[in-house]
Amino acid sequence: MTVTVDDADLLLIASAALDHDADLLLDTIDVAALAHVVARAETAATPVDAAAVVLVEIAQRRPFHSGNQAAAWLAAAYVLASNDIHLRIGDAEALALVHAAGQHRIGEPEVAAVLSRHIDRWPHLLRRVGRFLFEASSAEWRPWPNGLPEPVRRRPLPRPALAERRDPPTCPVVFGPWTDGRQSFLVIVGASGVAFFPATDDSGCAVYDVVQVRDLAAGDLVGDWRRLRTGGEMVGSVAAADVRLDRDGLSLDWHVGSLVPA
Amino acid sequence: VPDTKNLLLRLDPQLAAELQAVAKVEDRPVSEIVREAIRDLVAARRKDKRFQKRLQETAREYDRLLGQLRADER
Repeated sequence: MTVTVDDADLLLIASAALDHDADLLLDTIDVAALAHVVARAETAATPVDAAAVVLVEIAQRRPFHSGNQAAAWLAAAYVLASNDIHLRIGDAEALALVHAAGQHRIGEPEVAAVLSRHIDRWPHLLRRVGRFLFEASSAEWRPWPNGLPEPVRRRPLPRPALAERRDPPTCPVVFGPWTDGRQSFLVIVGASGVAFFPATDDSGCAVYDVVQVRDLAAGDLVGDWRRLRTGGEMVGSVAAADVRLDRDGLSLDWHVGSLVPA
Repeated sequence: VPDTKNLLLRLDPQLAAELQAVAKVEDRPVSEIVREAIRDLVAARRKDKRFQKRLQETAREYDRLLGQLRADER
């Protein structure tokens, strides 16, 4: 289900984009134009469509007294973030996109197409796990045991400089069932998690299938984890050689850049 | 920018009738009642920590771009 925005969201988003007090902004908004933006966004089929609608509608209908282009961009980015979608787009391209929409040179389909092209291919949760993994790299690591051949092309794990390292955050790792001498495990991030299931790739190399799991329940961790796997979203696979656990087996070191998307 | 605007709101008939009834009884414009409703919603949303956190993070991420967009419109 697409998470979209209501009138109050848009007002507060504009307040943040313009650095104006929301109460003062409310006195000058075009209530009908704002209601129109909200109603149009509610009918969007996908989060990207909803983001395109709010961007184009705000930039063109101009519900706020000033700063509609900044409000349009932040509203679109907020809609995407609310749906766990993040963009990787340069300022120049984003600027051109908002200008073109504001000048009625492009419409929602074109904006949606541009936004789609710039979706960050690493889901938000994975990026959080990736950050955790890099930051936790001051621990002593041991390779994950496996009896399968390692990938031919191994990439080095980039490390932050010692001075840049912060205290390692804690991110619980739960171990699950064994498959062919290797154990499944789950990194818990808030109420969600990223599960690693032992597998082999087409060339017979040891990999982990990486599955993003939302709304974890305690019962999901009982048994053979089949429900965990089928209920999650397969995001790709990572070479087993790039997955290492610290000495205590509680922290995971995984080069997020080596993930091959599904 | 004019001091007042003509408003057009698409509401379901029952809600529109209720809104007009309230406006008539209180002798106030419909737009003022709508604005008041938004004000109440904003007050509630301000207390929503998750919303505030996500908004602040997103605004911080695009801080430079938002500054450029604001400057372009001046």
